[in-house]
Amino acid sequence: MEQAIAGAEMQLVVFELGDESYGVDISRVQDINRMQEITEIPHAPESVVGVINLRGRVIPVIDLRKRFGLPEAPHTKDTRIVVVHLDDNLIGVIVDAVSQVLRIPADIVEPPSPVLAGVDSRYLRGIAKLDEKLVILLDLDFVLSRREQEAISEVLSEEV
Amino acid sequence: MLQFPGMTEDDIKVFLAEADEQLQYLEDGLLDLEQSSEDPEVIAQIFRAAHTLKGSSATLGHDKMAKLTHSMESVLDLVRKSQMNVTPALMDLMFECLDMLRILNREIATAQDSGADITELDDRLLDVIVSVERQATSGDTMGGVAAGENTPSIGGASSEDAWEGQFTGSGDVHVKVRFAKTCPMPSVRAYQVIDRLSTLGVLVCSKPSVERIEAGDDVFDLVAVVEYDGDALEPLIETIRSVTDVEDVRVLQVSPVGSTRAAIQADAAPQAADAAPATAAETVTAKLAVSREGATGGAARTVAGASPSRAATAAAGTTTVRVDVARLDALSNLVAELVIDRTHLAQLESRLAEKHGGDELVSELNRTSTHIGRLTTELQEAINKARMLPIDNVFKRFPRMVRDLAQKQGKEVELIIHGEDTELDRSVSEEIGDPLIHLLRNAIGHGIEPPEERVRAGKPPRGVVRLSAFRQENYIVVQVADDGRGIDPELVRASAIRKGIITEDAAARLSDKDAINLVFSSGLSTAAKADDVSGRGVGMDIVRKNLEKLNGNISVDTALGRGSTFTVKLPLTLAIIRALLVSLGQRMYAIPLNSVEEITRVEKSDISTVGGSEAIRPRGEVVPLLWLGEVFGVRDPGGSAHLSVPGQKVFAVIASSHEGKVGLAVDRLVGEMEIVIKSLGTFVGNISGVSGVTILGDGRVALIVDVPSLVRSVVDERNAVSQC
Repeated sequence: MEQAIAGAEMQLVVFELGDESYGVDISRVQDINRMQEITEIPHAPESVVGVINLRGRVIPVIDLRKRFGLPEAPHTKDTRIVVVHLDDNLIGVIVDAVSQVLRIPADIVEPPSPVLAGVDSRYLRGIAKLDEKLVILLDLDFVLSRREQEAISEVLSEEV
Repeated sequence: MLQFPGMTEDDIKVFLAEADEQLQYLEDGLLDLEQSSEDPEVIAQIFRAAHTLKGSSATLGHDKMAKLTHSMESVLDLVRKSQMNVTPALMDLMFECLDMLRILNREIATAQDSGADITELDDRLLDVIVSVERQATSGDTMGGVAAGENTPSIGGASSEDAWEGQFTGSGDVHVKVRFAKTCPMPSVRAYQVIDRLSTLGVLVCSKPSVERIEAGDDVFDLVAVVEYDGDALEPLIETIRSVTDVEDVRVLQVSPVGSTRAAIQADAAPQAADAAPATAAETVTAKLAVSREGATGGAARTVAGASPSRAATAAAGTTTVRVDVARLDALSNLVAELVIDRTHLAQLESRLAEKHGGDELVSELNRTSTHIGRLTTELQEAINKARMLPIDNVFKRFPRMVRDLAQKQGKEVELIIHGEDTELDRSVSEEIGDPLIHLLRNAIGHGIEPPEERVRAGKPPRGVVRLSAFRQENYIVVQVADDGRGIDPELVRASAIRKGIITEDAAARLSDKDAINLVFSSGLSTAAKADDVSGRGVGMDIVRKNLEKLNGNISVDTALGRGSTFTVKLPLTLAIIRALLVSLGQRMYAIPLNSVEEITRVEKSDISTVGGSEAIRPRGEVVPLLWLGEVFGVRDPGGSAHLSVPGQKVFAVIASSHEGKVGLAVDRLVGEMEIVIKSLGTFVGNISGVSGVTILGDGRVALIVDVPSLVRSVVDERNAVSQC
């Protein structure tokens, strides 16, 4: 009841990439891992870095920097692999750092503005305005979708 | 969308599981009946299957299936009572009905109305019944038997008055129970009555039998005989009355023991009335079965023989559990992880021992880790066994298929099956069916000759196709052998040249054995014309390709005029294979051992250039050399690039598929081990040159090299070059 009165809440895992903070719904996150050895897959789609062993499951890992077209950055002790659900698959996403888990009221989320530094607005579900910063809510399904992957590789091959 | 009101999803699942079983009984029975005409045992089996299907489909509320099975049952009943003979026309009609039942069954499974109409079949069945009845009434003596069949009375106790006797002390008691016609679940109520009777005394027999009741037959009148040792009948009556929907209970004491049984038998089969009083319970069941089936002496043996097997099935049913495959898979995955951890634990333990040898804690850790290792191995074996199914699951659909194919082509074929109880992993049994169908079709279509031709060749007119399965180490081997015309290497050569698969020169150079192996290349068929049975020439190459994908293979052995034997070999399980581990710098790769031919060491001087690409010549044979690092685009500073230093050697793993061989240059051989194959998943998709991944003992991920695709890429490249 209390929650109903307080309005819907969202719980987000917030991670850093470049200068931005991004949030994904906590229910989508299976696991947060330190950087580990990644086995490269030859001839794999561009942003698939390789696969890792997550307790006996083999999981593909994508580099979100590559996906967003951000410059490559060396991995640090803060680098994390966030393992998220996508349909029936688990997929690892490399991010610069995972900063916090946030509980926010749903009504502070605003629809994405069409122009946002560096990132295609189609990737976004909204922007949460907090006192100290903005957290960009990612549309994981779109970011990780095969269709998007193909679209990207098409663009790349056209450029070549 | 089909709906079955009042039925839960589980009810439908149970129905489907049972229906599949009954349809199979029906099919097996019909095939047997066709072979050994009018064996009463077989007829009884078919009848039971149709009857059970009728009951369960009616309960489910699938009217079409209930109606069709009812008509089938009526016709089968006539056959059972020898009022009509088994004719080819009748067999065809029955098979058509079976096909229809399968369609209807699929309707239920998919919840989609197939639009199939049973009216025509049902009318034909009714025609059969009408024609037989017309015969019977026109003065046939059989009519009497039919009339007697429908009077469900019991022995000397058929008069109602006889049921109200005086109780004189312990002994056999006759119990007759009638359930209300409105009773929704009479079989359940009947079972309750039987159950309560069993608590009060020893149940001697009942009509219908307990099995029937358990099978869910509708029972509105139940008669049972109980050895009752109570003082008065009232408690017995009260107990039965307390069961819901019981309309009427009558009890009668009959002594001595033997007379009761004799009375029941006398009613059912008059000729058995003077039989010696039965003492063993089985005999009673058997005799009762006779009464149930209402058949002649011949059927008695039959049904008595069938009852124990049904009882055995029922008994087996209580010790088995149906488990969702997904759960088994999850269990296998967990065990596979445990295996990996076990290896890691052993490694840690030995490192600890090196560091702190002699420490009490280390040796205790050693004991525990050894124990865990042993348990894990046992667990792995147990779970693998749990996933095993007899290959009969695959084989059981073949007799019908062979029958239909043979009939369609006017051939006489006998299918002999061996080793149907050979067990194999579920995953393999799912994959092995299609290749076998292909091989059987070929055996009948191409192998077995028409009867006249066989006779001319001095063979019996009926051809034999042998399907056998057995285990060979970690493989399951299935052979399809026919005694037909065999494969003529000359015909294959000619066909291959005509189709442009090889040149005339190349064909002439081929040995007969190699020429015969051309049947596995694409686009080749030796059949004079394509038909719907076999032979559009797109079969065998796909069969081979699919088998290789599963790390299996296929070979053929043939003798002109005497027949061909195709041998399919597959690993027992698709999840675990033996592989050779190799490394390139820090990276590990697994090469399936079944494709590894040999390993040689080569240095720069061993490598020659053929048509612009590198090749080596182990044993004088030219084998293209691939640098695994280049294939996989690995730029590893630690790895040996090309052999720049004279005298430096690398390992070349010679791997083969049916298309040829390829040498894979690697840095180091790590060893041979069992690996668990994991897919790369849909997100990454298919990667050329990689068939999957596996997790090594230390937790690292290694790619599994897809040898057939590497060989193909080399072959394609060579063809492209030669065409330029």
